[in-house]
Amino acid sequence: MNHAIAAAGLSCVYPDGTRALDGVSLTIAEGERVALLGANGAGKSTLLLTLVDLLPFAGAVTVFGAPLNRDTRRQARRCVGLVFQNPDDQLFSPTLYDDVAFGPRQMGLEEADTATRVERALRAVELWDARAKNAFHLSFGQKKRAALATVLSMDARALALDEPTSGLDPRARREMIALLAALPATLIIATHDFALAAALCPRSVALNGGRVAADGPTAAIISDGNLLDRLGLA
Amino acid sequence: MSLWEFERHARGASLIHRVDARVKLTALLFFILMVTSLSGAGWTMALYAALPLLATGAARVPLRIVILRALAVIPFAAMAGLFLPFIPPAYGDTLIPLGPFTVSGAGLARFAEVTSKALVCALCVATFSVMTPFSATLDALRRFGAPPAFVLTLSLAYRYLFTLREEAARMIRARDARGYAGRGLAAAMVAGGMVGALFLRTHERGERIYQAMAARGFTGAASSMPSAPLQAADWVFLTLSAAGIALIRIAAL
Amino acid sequence: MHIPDGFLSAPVALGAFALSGAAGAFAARRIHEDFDERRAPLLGVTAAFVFAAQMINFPVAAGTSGHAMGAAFASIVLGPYPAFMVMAVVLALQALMFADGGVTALGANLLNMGVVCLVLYPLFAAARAPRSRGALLAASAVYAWLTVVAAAILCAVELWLSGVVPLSAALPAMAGVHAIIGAGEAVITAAAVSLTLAARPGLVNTATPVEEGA
Ligand SMILES: Nc1ncnc2c1ncn2[C@@H]1O[C@H](COP(=O)(O)OP(=O)(O)OP(=O)(O)O)[C@@H](O)[C@H]1O
Ligand SMILES: [Mg+2]
Repeated sequence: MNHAIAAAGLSCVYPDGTRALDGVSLTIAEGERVALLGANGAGKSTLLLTLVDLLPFAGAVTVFGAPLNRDTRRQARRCVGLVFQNPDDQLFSPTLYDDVAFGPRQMGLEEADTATRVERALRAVELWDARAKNAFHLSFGQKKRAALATVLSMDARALALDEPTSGLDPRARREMIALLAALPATLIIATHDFALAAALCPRSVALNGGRVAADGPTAAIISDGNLLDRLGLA
Repeated sequence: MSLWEFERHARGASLIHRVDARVKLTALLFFILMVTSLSGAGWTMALYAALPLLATGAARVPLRIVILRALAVIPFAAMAGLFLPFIPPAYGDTLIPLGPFTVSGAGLARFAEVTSKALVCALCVATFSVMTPFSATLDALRRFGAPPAFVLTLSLAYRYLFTLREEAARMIRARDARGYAGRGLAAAMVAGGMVGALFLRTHERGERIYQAMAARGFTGAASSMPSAPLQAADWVFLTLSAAGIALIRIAAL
Repeated sequence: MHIPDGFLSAPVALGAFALSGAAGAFAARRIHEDFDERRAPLLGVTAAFVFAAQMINFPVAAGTSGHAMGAAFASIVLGPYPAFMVMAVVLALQALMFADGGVTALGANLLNMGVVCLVLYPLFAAARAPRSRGALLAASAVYAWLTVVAAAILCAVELWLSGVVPLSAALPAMAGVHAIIGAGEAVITAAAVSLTLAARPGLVNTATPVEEGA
């Protein structure tokens, strides 16, 4: 079996001394869908950022077979599309079209090639008609979908999603879950949404204080009252 | 004001709306240069004022919106007007009574000249900005060869301007909701704390935007911009507006 | 106080463009010294911040209110050269989109609000040399006050050179009023720096943010 992502002894310390990750080891197979659970401050977001070398870390990370370092991180970032929790951070261009085209253009693709990808990505999230709008004009649910489109256009093999359903109303949440369920990519989803984890991810990894506290079938983890209590998730 | 309100009339089907932003920007600059190089006010100024108003009418944009935006120059003009009574009369000057003061006729004429120039130019800027989405303006700047770093910064500034204003408004509301009625030094310190807090949020946002860009392969180089040729209609607009602006200027000589 | 189009005579407007342009070219060359250009997003959001901060006003006295101008604060936290770029963007945006400040007066406005911060920065740097918190806050306050008053004086002189206002009245009046407004600005800036220092000590005057980039 091929690993999409493998981390061994991964640690990350913020400049102010906060040890956000403390010896995290986990492997994710290609095509697998994994939920990342944990209380506020458990280290979920930090883990996603370190997986594409956006924060300095100690330990070893392998992304689709290549050890992650300065020279390989561009490739790693192409392979793993990162979607931030707050869509306002991700949508920074004058128009939605430009936002979705940003990744392909940075990859040096021809404009025609870029255009095809942008259209495909925006249609996938049902925002093609809003392509000329500024992100500021979108509803929150639309922004979350738009943020997803900005990495769909990069044809990433794996997607790392930070709380894709947070802040969504029930209907937008269902739409997002359906959208994610239809994606062929490897998924790693940091979330507080147990229903999302149960619906999409056969496997869950629970973090607590920057360490892996549990790793196993989602159904088992989210029904283990003692464990959830310890994780501060009950 | 939200970005939505701000750009409410920026996209439209009218001929003016469809003119390439490069052309509009060129016409705007030419207009401003011609107006500011006039000496004296008078009927030429009225003719110049008519041009942006004509464009506004042709684009079917409410005039009120354009005029409101142009009024941004009024506070400055009013401030300059405060000094009118203190202008020493020139030799042979007429003295004009103005309320409790007498002011120099030459000084008043100069003030009327600069204020009307400011208003007419602001009217044209407002017409341009009301009828042009900022993304088109950025494209135009890029194609005119503005430094990519400058255009990127400008684009981010505009994008987050409205977001941060909302954040500031929320902070102000939260302050006032707690029955805040500070004065003087204490008020300034509270305001300073809010400015600091807003900056911290801004900075964090800047870091996350940077990460979001880097995660998609950003290396500091600007992304490429395909160049679109001007259409026949653009050339027609450019020729007509430039001719109109130049004719008025020549007539004023 | 953004000077609109029409108020400045051609020589004044052109002269100001020349000075600001020279300062801009200088700043563009030096910016890399204390700013990683891949941090460009920070400049953009800081420009947006300078806009937004102007909304936060506070009552001064007798019904008037002051508001944060932000240029000095931006220089303190980003360093003088990046802050100059931020002010250039702010003023360009205001001139082009908000009709606030003229297109032909862009040079003069940048001179008053950007170049002034750049030129006075060494004073700030010298005053905060003791590296204590008190020295930093005092230097910030004085720097903010000086930039506001100097901007007002320059503005008065530019208008006088353009034959719009008499210097004998405008100079004392503008300087006097802005000495008061500047006091508010000084307190705001010092308080903002103090908060920033408490929350993110690394931010103030180590111009580059702490964690590494791409
Ligand atoms: N920029 C930063 N500087 C210092 N500490 C940070 C920073 N970002 C996060 N932390 C700290 O690192 C730890 C892990 O944070 P992280 O954001 O990864 O948590 P999380 O699991 O994503 O939480 P949430 O569910 O709230 O999003 C927390 O203790 C947090 O305070
Ligand atoms: Mg998080």
